[in-house]
Amino acid sequence: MERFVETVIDGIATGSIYGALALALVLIYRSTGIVNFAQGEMAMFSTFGAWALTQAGLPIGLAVLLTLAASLLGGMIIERALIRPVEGSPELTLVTVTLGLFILINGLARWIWGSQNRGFPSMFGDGNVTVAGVSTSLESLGLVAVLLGVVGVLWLVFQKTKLGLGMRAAAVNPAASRLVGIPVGRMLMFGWGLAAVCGALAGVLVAPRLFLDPGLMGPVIIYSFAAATLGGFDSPFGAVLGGWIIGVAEALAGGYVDFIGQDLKILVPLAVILSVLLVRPHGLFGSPEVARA
Amino acid sequence: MSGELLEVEGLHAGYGPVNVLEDVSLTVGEGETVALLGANGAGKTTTLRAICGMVKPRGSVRIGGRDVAKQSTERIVRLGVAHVPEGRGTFAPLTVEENLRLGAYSRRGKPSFKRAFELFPRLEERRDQQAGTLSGGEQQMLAIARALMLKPKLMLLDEPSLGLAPKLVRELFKTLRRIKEDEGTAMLIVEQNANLVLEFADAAHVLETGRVVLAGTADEVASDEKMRKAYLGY
Amino acid sequence: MKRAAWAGVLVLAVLLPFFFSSYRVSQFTLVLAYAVAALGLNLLVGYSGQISLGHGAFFALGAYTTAILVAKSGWPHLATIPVAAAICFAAGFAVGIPALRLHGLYLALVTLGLAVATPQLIKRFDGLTGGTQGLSAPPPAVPGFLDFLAADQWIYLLNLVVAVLMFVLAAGIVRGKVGRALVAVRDNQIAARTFGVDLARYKTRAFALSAAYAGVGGAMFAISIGFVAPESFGLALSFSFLAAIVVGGLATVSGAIFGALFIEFVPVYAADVNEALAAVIYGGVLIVFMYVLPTGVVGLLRRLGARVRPRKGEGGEHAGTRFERGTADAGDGAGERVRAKR
Repeated sequence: MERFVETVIDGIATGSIYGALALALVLIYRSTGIVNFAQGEMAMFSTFGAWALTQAGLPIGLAVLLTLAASLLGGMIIERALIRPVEGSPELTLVTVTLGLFILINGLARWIWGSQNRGFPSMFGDGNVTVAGVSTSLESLGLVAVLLGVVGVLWLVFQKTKLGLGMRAAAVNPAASRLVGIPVGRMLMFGWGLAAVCGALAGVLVAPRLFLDPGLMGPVIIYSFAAATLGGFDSPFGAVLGGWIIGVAEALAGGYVDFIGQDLKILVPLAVILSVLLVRPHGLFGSPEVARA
Repeated sequence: MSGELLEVEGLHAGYGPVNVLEDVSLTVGEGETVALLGANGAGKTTTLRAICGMVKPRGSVRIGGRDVAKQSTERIVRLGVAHVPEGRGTFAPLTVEENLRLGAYSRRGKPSFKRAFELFPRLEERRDQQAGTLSGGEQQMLAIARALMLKPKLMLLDEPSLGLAPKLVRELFKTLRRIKEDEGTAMLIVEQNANLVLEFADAAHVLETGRVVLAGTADEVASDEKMRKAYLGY
Repeated sequence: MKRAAWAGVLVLAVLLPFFFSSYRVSQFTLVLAYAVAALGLNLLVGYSGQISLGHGAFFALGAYTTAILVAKSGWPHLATIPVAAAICFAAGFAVGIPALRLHGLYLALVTLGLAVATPQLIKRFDGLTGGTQGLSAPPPAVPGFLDFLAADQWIYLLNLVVAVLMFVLAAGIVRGKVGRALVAVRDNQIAARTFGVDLARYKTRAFALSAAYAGVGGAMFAISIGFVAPESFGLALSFSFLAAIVVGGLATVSGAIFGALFIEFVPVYAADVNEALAAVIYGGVLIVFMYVLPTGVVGLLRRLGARVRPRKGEGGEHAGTRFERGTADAGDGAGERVRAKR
């Protein structure tokens, strides 16, 4: 029984990582209507940046903060310079641009830092906590706490601030937003910036568990796509919940179902994507128009 | 000539190689109400769009003496121009209150809903409702209330009566008259319903296939014989 | 005029292996395999408007079919090609049916999943596929009466024959009833339905056909290289095919050639500098292409051609296609609107 609970908690922790990256995907989809296939690579690049800072001697906490700030800027620059010129283009053009971005960023990381494995320090240390016979790592708890914190901050920003209202308006009706004086372009930039921050967070949270190398986010993004699909591509809340569900499902499947084992674990999120899209395309919390895209 | 709030001169505008407006000129003075009439496709909406920067025109558009023909919509809005577009342009998934709040986006300080709720008590009742669930008439109210939140010097209204029952249309124009008298807001109203708007406007221009074919005070235009036959039906 | 151009290209293609080094010739052989696969993807994406990021999966299926039949059952190489095509046709059909319910980005996602799953599935069924070790299937030997040909030349020419057949077939499909139906489906599903076009039938057929083409391409790949392993068939491959058709030109037959040349040679040339940098350049070129040449190389050639000889475009390929309207050239977009008004 304890093992079951531990597996579930582990799943929620991993799911928080998927949820963080899924949040990034949803933020971008809501604001610009694009599925950013390069989100994972952007996150990986940010994580390498954080790593480089720790190598330069900074404590991990400070390195992460600086990285988040840089990612905010980076996301905004990418939107302005690379995405804005093709906004409104047919889907295929947009898909190709984000794919090109994927390839480019991955190559850039390999060029700068090479492909070897590296360790990445955890922000939460190595401790464990045991309650009622159930043992879990501080890291897992920290992961969940961070995600909840991010969701809380985002909620506050979007629901209670003028900027957030402007961003929501720009996402919902860009033409009408211009008519009330909202600088729509700037709102979109900001959406990408925020998304990059969420992605970077996902990256620095997952890196301690795996090896840091340019392939870091490859599988993660598939899980995050599944999370966003399950939750509904335009629902931030759904992305987080979807992440948790998938994290738990993966943990339970990996632990209890033998056929799957390690190799085919990736089939879990793929199966989720397929079943959701066939049964209820707009996911748990998405709005039905999303499906018609 | 200077001192007019809005001066449009020699406006040519269109979409791509297709020219919709040819040499359109009109002025709107402070606190003045001007009607823009004409059949479907005459270019009325395009004129409004050109004024607020949604379409980039050739020719001159001056607001308060400043040339704004090349400005972005956001900049023009900040000069105090509120555009109520055809189809209302409400933010459907957002609440009524959020829609109103957005109207005041480009203003500093805390927005006050007092005036909006005074003119449109129905909106206060529904302030936490999603804008998309409002009826057509209520959405029109919301659109105008939102425009008012800007405390604009000039309001551009595109077919405000479209899709509304006659009783609501009369209410609407009564409210517009109140706004004109109390706030002194200048208005440029595009309307198919020539009768109602001519009773209320100070001046009028009639557009036909992108050109101004008749202009003058509201009375002059209303009593013009060709005009009466073509648009007023008698 | 067009026929003369094609004939010229064919002549050049036949002479090619005698003028280049062995290494180059094998590269061109790969280009042929990629071109056939790209042609298939274009049928799906360019003509029927369904985005697929999983083309590599069918390519792998075809390649492994050939490799397994040759290595384990001693089949003659060319005989495996129709088998690969048939299996992939069926597989494509199987994918095409659920795909009917998905559109745009959702279809892209699901097919992405297919591409990601492929290397894993290959490894899982290692009894059949040789798993991570891969599978060796020696390329066909030069027949006695042609022994003046080097091995690489022989393989190239074999593949050329297959490629030409596939291209001719594709051109026929595109110009014929199926092609026109596909374009109708892509451009306006509702209108197509009112014209009596059975959407489901054509869309699934498009999937099946494109998969079959990928399968043939994969078979050609296996024949030329003589070795298949899971790493060759990952996500990067599917991305490459997409890049090929976008760079070459959507909804064109000739585009597949330019696209295949692009995906074979650009990474290789860029890699001369540095392998990682190659990816940066490759990704960058892709992005720039979308700004500057969204209609691909063929689109550019057509525009240049139109400027030199001002006459209407020919064939169904040139009708104002949604994908050919790029944002880079505002004139095209507006022109399209005018056309609609008329």
